[in-house]
Amino acid sequence: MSTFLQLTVSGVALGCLLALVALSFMIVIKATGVFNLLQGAFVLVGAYLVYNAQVTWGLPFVVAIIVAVAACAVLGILLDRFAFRGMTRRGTGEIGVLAILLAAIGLLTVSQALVVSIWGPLTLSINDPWGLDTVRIGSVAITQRDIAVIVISLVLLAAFYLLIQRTRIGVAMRATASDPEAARAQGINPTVVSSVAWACAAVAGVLAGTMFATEVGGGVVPTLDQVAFAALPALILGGAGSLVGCVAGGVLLGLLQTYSAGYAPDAFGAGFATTVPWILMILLLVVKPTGLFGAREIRRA
Amino acid sequence: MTTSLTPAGRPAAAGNSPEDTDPDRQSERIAEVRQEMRLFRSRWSLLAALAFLVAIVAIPLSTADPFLLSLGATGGIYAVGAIGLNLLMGSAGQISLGHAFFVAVGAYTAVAVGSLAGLPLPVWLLAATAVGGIVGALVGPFAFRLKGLYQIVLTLGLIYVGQYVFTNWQSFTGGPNGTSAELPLALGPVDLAALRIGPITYGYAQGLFILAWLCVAVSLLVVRNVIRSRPGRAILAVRDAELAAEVAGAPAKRSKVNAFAISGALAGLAGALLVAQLSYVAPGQFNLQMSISFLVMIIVGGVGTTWGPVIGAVLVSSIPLMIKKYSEYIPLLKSDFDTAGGFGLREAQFNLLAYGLLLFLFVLIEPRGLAYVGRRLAGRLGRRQTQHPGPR
Repeated sequence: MSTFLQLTVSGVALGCLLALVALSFMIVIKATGVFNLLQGAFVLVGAYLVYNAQVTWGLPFVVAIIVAVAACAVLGILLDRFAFRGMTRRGTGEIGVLAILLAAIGLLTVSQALVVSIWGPLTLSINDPWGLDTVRIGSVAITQRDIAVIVISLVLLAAFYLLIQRTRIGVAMRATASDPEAARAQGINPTVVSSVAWACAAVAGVLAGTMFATEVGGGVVPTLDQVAFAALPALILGGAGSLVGCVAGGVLLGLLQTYSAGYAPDAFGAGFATTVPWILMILLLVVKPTGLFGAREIRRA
Repeated sequence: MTTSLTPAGRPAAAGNSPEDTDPDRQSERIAEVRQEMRLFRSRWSLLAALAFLVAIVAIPLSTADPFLLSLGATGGIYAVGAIGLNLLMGSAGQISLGHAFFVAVGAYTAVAVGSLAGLPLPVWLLAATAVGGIVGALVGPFAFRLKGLYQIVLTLGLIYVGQYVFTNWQSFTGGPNGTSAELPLALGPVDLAALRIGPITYGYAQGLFILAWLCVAVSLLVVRNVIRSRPGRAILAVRDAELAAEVAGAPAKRSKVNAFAISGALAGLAGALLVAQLSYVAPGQFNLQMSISFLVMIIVGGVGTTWGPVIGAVLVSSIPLMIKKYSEYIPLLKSDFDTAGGFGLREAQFNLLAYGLLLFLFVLIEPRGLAYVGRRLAGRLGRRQTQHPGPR
């Protein structure tokens, strides 16, 4: 029983992080109508920038995170402005709507190469404020890190929910997503909307990457961008349309992955836990292509 | 094919221009479309194809330089896979990040048939192609129901599930460390592994070069013929306007499944050739990065063109080999095992950087790829010639 509770807590923590990354994808889809993989680079580059600001420059943890978020947000906004938007407008030839996705895959590859070139291939550790301390509740020992991850993620997700549902900019974002022309006619500036979306994506991506890197026995590694890919099934499970769907999909996959790591017999072989989300997602797409929460299809790539 | 060029380099008239109502223009337009749909669009392209055939036998037989031979064979092997992906993306308008999965399916089929069962060249080559095609046809119906994000993620999932299966099927694949596999290259009385012409005996590398490029030639011919045929034109029509195509009688579902099947078959063929080249296969080879490198090849070469994927594959697949060979002349490069601080590109990172930048810059600046650039240059030269009173 105590193993089960232990696994549940770390599963929820993992799920919250997956939900954050899925959210960073979703919010850009919402604001620009186009799926973009560049946010995967925020997870990786963000964690390294936090390491650099904190360990190399000696800044406090919170300041380091702010520096990293700001850098990623600026990068996203600039690329959106000067690269991606032109591609949408020109409707580039044979590859058409895939142009942005392909360009983003290119940039993701570049970011991985640069990260290893600048910081090396070895695991680096962030001096996170949680360390290895645990809290004992009965027979269950929960790491402070898991608690911090769950609390920070839930606060962030709640903040994003309020931003999208309750503020003017959130309404503008949803209006742009559902009808860009009409939103423009209402005086909504698409540049502002997409800039806010990229900033949100940077916040979610950098924090998720940093918190992944604080995992016990983990650290900042060049393979962190795989986390971004691991969050894609969560996005699909949630139906790619709603914040609630992202959170539900993320937590479901986090639990599933942790339970399979804990309970799956050895006969299932190496890497079973990380493959389970993909198997589940493929089965879901075969049975119900619109995701568990059945949002509308995203027509453009 | 959005703009087609007649042999003189003059852009063909757009299909819906008002002149088309003129019966003379109409018959001229029909002649242009016939020309476009011919296997060889002009006498020159027929001659070029013949020259290509001579070259793929003559080049490997005239050199024994192992670097050139491996450069050529690698280019040919990747070209076969890129031609497959190009059919799926360029002609059918579907996206796949799972191309490496089909390459893996072909590679392991070749291991089973050619190495473990010890069957001859035609058998393992055809088996890898067939199994790749079957798996493609099985995946197709699920993939084409989806669009954009969903299609990308489904095909990405294939890679992860494939790696899991291949890593754990230890008795057959040797687990994560891989297994070595020798494939026989004998074709009837001719053994490509020890080709004998007159007094000279050629080596394995030369035979593989010829085999790989013969496969490229066959793949090009097959894809070009498919595109000319009724099902192939259905693939193009469904890409351009799905509803209109279906109303006109082109079966949308079947054409998309066809595209996935042919693409999977060519990927499988490439996988078999890859095993023949390396005599070794490990599940880790068939990762996302391999899928991405196929994408880079067709974007650099030119999506939806006949020769684009071949040009792209030769150029892009030569980058890692070139870097390895000329590492001492490249600034900022350091050994893969150097863990010291400071900025420095390791070989693997240099490849990633080159691939990523090529993909980004080509999409940004010239998304039609090198094949288009070449055709435009040729067109400009052609126009300059026709300023003088010429044959036209």
